[in-house]
Amino acid sequence: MAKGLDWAKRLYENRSQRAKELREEGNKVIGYICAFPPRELITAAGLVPYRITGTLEPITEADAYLETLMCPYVRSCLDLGIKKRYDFLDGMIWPHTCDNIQKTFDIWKHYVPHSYFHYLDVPHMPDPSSFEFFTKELDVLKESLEEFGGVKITEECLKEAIGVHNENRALLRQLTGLRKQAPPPISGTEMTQVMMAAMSIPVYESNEMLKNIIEEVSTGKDGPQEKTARLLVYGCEIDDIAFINLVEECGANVVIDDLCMGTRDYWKDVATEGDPLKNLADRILGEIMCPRTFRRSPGTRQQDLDNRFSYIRDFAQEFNVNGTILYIIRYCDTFEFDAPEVRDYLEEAGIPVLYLEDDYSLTSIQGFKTRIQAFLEMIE
Amino acid sequence: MYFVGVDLGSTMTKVVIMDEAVLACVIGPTGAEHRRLAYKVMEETLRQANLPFDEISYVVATGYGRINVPFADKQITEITCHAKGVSSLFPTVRTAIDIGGQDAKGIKIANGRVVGFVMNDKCAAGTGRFLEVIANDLGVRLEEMGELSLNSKSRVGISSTCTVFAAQEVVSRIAEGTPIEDVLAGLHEAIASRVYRMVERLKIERDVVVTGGVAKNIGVVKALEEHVGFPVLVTEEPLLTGAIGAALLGKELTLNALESGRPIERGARRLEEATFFK
Amino acid sequence: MSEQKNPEVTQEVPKRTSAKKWTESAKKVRGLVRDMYVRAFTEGKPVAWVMFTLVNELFVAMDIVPVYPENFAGLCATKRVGNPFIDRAEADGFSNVSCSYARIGLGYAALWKDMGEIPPFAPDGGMAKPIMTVGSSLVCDTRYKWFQTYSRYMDVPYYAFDMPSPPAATVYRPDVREQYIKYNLAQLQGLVNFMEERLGKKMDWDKLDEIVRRGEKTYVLWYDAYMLAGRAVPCPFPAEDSFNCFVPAFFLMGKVEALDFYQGLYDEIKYKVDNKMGSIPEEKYRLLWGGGLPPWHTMQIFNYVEEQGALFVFQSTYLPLRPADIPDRITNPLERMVYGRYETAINRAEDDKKLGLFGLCNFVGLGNPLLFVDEFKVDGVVMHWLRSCRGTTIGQVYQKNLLEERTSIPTLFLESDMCDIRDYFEADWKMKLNALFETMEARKRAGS
Repeated sequence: MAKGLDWAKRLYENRSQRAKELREEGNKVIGYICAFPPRELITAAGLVPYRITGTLEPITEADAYLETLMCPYVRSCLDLGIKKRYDFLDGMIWPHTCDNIQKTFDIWKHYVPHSYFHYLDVPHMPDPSSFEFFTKELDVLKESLEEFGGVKITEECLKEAIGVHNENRALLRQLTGLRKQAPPPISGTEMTQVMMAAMSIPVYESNEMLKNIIEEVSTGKDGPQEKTARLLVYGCEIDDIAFINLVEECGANVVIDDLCMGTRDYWKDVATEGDPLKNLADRILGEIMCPRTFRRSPGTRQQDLDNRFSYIRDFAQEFNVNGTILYIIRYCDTFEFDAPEVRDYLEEAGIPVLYLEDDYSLTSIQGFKTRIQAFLEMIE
Repeated sequence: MYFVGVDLGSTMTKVVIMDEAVLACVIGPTGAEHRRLAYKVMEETLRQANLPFDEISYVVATGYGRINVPFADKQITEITCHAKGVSSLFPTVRTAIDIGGQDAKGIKIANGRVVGFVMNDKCAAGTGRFLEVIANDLGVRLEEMGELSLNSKSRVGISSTCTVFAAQEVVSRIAEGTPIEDVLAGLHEAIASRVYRMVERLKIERDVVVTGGVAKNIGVVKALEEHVGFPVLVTEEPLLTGAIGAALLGKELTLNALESGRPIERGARRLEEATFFK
Repeated sequence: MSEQKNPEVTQEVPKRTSAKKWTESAKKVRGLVRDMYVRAFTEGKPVAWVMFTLVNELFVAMDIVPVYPENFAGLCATKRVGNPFIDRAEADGFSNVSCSYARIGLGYAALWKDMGEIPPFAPDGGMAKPIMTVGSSLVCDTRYKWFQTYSRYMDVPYYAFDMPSPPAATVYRPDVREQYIKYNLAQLQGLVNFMEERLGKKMDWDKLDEIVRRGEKTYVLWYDAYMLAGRAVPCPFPAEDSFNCFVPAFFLMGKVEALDFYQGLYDEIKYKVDNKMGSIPEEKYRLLWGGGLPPWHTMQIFNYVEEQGALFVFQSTYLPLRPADIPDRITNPLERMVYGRYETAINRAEDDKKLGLFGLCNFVGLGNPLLFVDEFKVDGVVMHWLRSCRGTTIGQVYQKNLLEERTSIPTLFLESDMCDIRDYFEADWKMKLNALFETMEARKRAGS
């Protein structure tokens, strides 16, 4: 059995392996897309949550089912579904997070058969009525999972699942915290592998793996070398090491991220006191900093921007970065509208920004080399 | 001391040798075969300057093919090199617009340093390649397109930004009997507006210089001036700014190292064919 | 951003881009639109910039003049003056795949700020300065994100609200019905509170009630007129006219003018249908515009289609859904609005369900063509892929697949954008349309 970072790397290279094994042992595996579905409920129902992702491989099948003028990440996920690469999933939870994801639900359901589907509506607004509505939606999801799993999710076992998932997030934060060191003991590329691995196995195993990795990297393993720049990468769904790896090969240490498969997913915990469903709603709608969730302006434009983006600036300062790369996947509409605002906000704070918009494929990523190198020369 | 800048572009390879000023420069095509043969252009430049390679203190390679220069001491991107080259020629420049064969870029400069840049998104429209395609379709010489378009009295609107569609649009306008100068003027405007929109992301500030192969096309330059609203500068040899910048950056590195007593980091310096498989 | 044109070179003046109008009603729309913008300047009433969200009645009741930037963007495209606004927005870093309505809307505000005055080339005098902006999550994400960004260019309070459509599953899970109604109601109340605070006056609920009930009648007339025209052979009211005639239903709903307009439209269509008055001499092919916003920049393409003997007899993009029966016991006008919106969405899901399709109502902004092809005797379906609109583009391939599974009617995809002329290539469109005509011809000859 591989240990530490090797464990993560092997899982990254064969993400579905563990889930398939578990299924053969009689477990049921539930897939979900995006950071919004509550993994805690899946775990509490005795099911295995599995985050579906795309791939940088060329899309060969999905174009017969989806338009090419939309999010290449979602297209790639469906491509894998059509190619039967998600056949090991017993079911799928599909959240209404953005247009691209929401509208693909019915198409997935029609062409990629699983025995269980659930559509989770997520409000866009942050009002008390929105939280109330979403708590109710989570309750409906809970009942539906109970029915599918043939179990009763008691308050006690949901609280326990929340505890284990909070521990998972805490471990990821602890590991991320180590990246404040210079040089960081774990590279951005390795961190991406860890995230991808952590979302492909049951949370209990994920916790074990993370403890193992933290021990390994904090006790003298050969880490990455110190490069000329420490960078923050901001963006949406990066589910492959290719981009981060390219940035690091160009001569930078990626030391912190604000990505869907990164801090955005694990920076905030679920509260443990009170109604667990309400607490889940509070975290998902209130704490996941995705531009798809509207945030009411506290007053002036500056206050609005601080309310939406100051955490990115804080990341940059805490992790002592010299620059930020905004890596925006084309057609990701809510990110596309925020990107110029984020760019200006960070530049205003004295943090240089490289703004890349990409159609997310291996060849296009390689095309960014000159831009990244020039950016590093600029901030050197 | 002598410094060399090698700019291995997608269509042209440019080499300069400098001490205080440019001693020699050679511009040759990059062609598929020649990509491996940058050293030959180098040798030709050395011959013109009447210098042996050993006398060269530092070689900086830049451009699209910069990794294919086995005799370079360092690779620096064309963005940094252009900024350096342009500021040495025009110290007042704040914005450089470079339109090359394969890409277009905008660079914002302050105190001779890059403070921001944009590059086009992997698309031939708005580059020299686009003009080449059209020149070929229309049977006019690339070099005469600019002058020809200045005779236009009513330029056509070329709306499509896709090279393929725009080329078809051009051909059909000619077939309709539209004078060639009006079509060319429309084409130049289409390129200028696309490049302008991209560079305006940096907030264009005066002075503006236009470099790269397309800077030789007066039609595009005039159309760009219409967009920015004031006259732009064009270098005497717009192809050379990258190579000059590279040589100057090499000089800066060498002098800084000498001053601080640090050793100078050097490359392998093999004046030979590039191999693509290490 | 100063622009000094070389005086010796003039740019070609674009030719007329709009389509010929076939009905008297459609001819009235241009005047109504112009009036909307002019009134915002001349009436001296507070102005709001609003995303179309089926809540025009609230603005009418509060005596606010709503101006719809989406409509303004379409108008700019028709006049071929949209691209300077698009350029300005892109220069600020907004993506060329972001909604072109939004790029025009943002570019307008940006240029206004740059120039210190309304850009002189803005059609109909431009959009008057608002005291509030209102966006919502109905139909697509852009509809609340875009307005959030206006603070870059102007300091105007913004209110966004949710109007979630029930998922298809609601048809089978009546248990979620209550939560949707309750949430929608709370969100609408939030909007009313914002308006009251902003204007410093209270909502007149009796007045709103009158306006809402007038709106209900208007909606039914709109629906009846559209369906009547689609069914009619020959068809007196082709898609390009119906792409005009949704304007009062979206932007003037609740006003007497809108009610009168649809009464007039209904009467005109009824008269023409009764007297077998069509549009073109012979309907060789009856087409359905099966999804995607129309090419506002070149509506004249519809006339090209007609010259080939084909007629778009219906469009399912701006689709009035089967109206709901709103019981009299519901007396709160806000609740009537919410109930109506909810039930029409359920009606749609139920219509889909009859065809054995369950999820299509998640494609808000994309009607289900299978509902119309038989009833409207359709020979071919055309859909429009838009580079900058996910809301009405995603799902088109799925719908084409369903059409292929269940009918032998050919489907054609055209590609461009609703406003951005740079994405349009006419020769390509004509070539594809001609190929469709040939396919339909072959199918007719084969007698299928």
